[in-house]
Amino acid sequence: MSSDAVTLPPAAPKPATGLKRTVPGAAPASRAVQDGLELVVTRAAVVFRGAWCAVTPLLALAVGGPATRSAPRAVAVAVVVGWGVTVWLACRHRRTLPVWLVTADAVLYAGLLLAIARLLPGPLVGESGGWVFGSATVSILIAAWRLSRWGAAAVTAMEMSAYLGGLALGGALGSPSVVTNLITYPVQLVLGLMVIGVMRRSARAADGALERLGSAHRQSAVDEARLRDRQARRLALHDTVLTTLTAVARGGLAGHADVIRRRCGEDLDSLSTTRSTGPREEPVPLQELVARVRGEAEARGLVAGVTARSPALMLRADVAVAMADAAREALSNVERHAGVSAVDIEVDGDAGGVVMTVADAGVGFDPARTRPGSTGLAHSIRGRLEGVGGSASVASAPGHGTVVTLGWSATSSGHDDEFGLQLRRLLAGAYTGGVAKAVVSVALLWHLFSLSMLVTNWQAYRSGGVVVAAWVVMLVVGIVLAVRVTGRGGVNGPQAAAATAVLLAATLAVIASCDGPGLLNHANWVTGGFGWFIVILAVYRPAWEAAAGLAVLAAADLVAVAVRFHGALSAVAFIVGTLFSIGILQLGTIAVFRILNGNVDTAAGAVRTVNALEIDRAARAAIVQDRAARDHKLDRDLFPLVRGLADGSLDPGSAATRQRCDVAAGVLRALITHDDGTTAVAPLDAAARASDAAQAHGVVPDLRIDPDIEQVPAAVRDRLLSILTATLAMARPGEASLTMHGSAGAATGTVCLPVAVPAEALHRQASAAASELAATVGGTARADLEQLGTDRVWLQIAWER
Amino acid sequence: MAPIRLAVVDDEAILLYGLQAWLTQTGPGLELLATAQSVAELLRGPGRSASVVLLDLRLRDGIPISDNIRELTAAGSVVVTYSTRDDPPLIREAIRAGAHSYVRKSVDASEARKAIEAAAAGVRYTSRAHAAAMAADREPERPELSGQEREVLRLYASGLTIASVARRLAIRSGTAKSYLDRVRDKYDAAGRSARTKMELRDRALEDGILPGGIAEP
Repeated sequence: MSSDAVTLPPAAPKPATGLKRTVPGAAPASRAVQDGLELVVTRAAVVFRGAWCAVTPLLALAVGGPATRSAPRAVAVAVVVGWGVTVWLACRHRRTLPVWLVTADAVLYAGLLLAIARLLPGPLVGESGGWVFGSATVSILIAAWRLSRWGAAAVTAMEMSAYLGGLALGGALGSPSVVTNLITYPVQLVLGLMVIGVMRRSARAADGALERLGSAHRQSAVDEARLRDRQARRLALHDTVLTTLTAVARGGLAGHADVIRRRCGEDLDSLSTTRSTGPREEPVPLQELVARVRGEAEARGLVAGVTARSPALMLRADVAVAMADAAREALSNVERHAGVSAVDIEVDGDAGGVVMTVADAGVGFDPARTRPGSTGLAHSIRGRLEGVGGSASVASAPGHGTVVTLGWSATSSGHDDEFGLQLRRLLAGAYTGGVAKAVVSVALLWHLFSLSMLVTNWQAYRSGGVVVAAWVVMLVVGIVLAVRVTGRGGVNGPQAAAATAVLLAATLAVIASCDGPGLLNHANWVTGGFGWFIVILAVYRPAWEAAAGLAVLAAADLVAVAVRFHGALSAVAFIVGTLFSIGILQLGTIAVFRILNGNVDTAAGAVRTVNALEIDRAARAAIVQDRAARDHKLDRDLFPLVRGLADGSLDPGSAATRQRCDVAAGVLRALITHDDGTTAVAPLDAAARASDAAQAHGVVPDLRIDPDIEQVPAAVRDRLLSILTATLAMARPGEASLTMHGSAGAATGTVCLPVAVPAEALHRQASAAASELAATVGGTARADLEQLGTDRVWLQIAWER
Repeated sequence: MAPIRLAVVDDEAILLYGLQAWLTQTGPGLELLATAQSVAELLRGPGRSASVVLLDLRLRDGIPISDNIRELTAAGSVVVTYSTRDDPPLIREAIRAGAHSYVRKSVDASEARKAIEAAAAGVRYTSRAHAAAMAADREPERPELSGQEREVLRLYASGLTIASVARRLAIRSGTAKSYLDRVRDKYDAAGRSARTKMELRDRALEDGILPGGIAEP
């Protein structure tokens, strides 16, 4: 494997042929949200059907029947209760509603509709308030959610036919409410299809968003690990070069020319391998990884026993690189600390993942005793693998050798639990928006449909004008709400309160206007219509507000019916049935909103997280680019020196070479101590300028540029640095310490150096420069000088705003 | 005077080669007993009778520096740490664990020599590199001093009287004294009392306010 194998792959790898597409940026299509939607549908179906089954006995018995002891009614009630239990049992552990259950539900209620005349008292057969008619709407609703569009239409047609058949059998076809009732079923179908359609679309959209969030998270983790890794290696490499240069500069190596040449040769090799040689993104065969690891072992003089299975397996490029890098760390550890030269390497893998172990029988160590935060085994190995979704473990004990296990599996690289949770919640945001639009449509459609009820029941009102006015007022409020909800404005508390008050007033006016029978038939259209407007408000307001609105409506209906019918139980039961058939759907929708609203913040947070991750990524890319440019310049100066030492063209014993090494070591040290891979650019630039000046004057730089000089005004920073570097021209050969620190309002720079000119002259010049600094950028500046011993001076320039 | 019995622990072999020449460039008086690549190796050989051990601050054997220092101290040696580059948190850890000084592996051996001699005499030596590293370090226990407070402390700790400090900074004596009182209060608040002039000097050295190169008893 060539040296570019250690180069990390680029940000957006192409899909790997022959491998599952799990590479960052091309994650497998997520279905988390869509699966979550199925669960919501299933639970809603159980709640809706279960609630109807639970109240059926009460309604059936309270309304009374054709005979005091009606056998068919008793049987029907028993069957309904049994069916409710069956539905609950069947769906308890299921995520998806079974089709057979939906079909059986439709058939059961079609049968009950067909027998409607045997189950209800004669006058109620053609009305909408009876339990048979109302509970059959649930069959249509769940068919719309679970079956295909045509399947749901077929169920609706079946229910309509059964209803007509039941009415015909009971001789109630002439009832005035029949046509309106009949239309209710297809309206339910359309509403059900609309809600589920919007939900499905938003679920798909949410899944898309989650996928982007997921890939952003994975990409960010990979980038972070790469940056850390690159920085750690840069540091480690330059650290060894620094040691070499220090040793040569110090001298006393006469007779060890071979040691220096070998050492510089190694340094040269490792410096070259860190240079990027271009991206590599194609999958890598396992045998190539094995060959690379074996090569690493042999290069370290280790005798490697290698066992590799499935050599032809193709690995994702980033995984192969992470594995190779981690193995290199493990081998380096064996070389330095194990005290043995034999190492066992085992590699095994299949399409699901790959595992590599690096084991030695050396001295081992106590993992609990390693320095926390050190760039030791745990950090360098785990960091690399976690970046690509893998894992690593180090097992060791003093005297019992060390086993490093590196693993990566296709499944472990997916979402972790915490993240999965966040993903699921994201869907809520998409749902709420979609459902809000659906509910607005439902409310307005229902309101338009109400106009037909109003007209056909015109004779049931004491004052038709009031009812029409109420209808128009509600329409206006509805349109205003629709505009607010579908736009970006939303609805605030006072607006919601005002809307509720107006709607409630109109609704009460209609109820008060109805005569006795009108309260129980479609003349009382507000009983259905009011609730949908209230449900719109639930999108933006606490659920209890909407529930309270519905409760006021129910109370008004109940009181009105109780007064008009002098407390007749059958009339009360009838209006309860009506309220139930419409209210259950509305309450259910409010409950869904309550859950979804709680998650909107999380969804917004997820979007913010993606943005933040993108920003981090851009910052990291900038850092990498900036460091590459700096390294390039450094290497340009460093390479000829190290190469000269490696090929023997420079004499390590000569004073000139030693002086060059000394200065180069100072420059290198300045880089290493100032750059932790994330340092801001200002201190790095200052360090680079001071290094250049020192190098130009043959002075060994010892720099301390505080990161806080980032806050110092650029003009002050620039001039301060100029004054300090100018003094280097007056230095005798030796080491010059230069420090800078500061804030937005004050900055201090010091230089401590052996001088070739009288200290007074230096002080005069620095004082003049300080005055000039103050004159140009404002504030005050002063120069202080101390004589240290016989030949060194310490000069400080301090500026204050 | 008997030569100082010295041992060196460094895992960079190339640095051990020129060691004898480097140490003796500042004159005689040092006896290099042994060199080793780890503390354990040193303590197995003749190096265990060294009075001063020059210990690499950043050995790559995974053992915390404080453990290495405690082991050497327990064996009866005084520890001077050294490194090619200054790592403030590590230096702080080493000093807390009982190391007497920190010096840099530089061409000029005089700082190392001063530190070794001070250590043999049981005295701490703050090298320039040490002082500079501490000045750059952001330790939470360090009080935030204003520019003037820092100046007054630096001049006073370097040996001037209050009156000469005031003269140097062109302020009144009373003002200089109140600055100094504020410095004392800030160090008190940070839990690092500095009531006497000697204590103030110690704090100034520890925090890199004085440029280093100073031995302290």
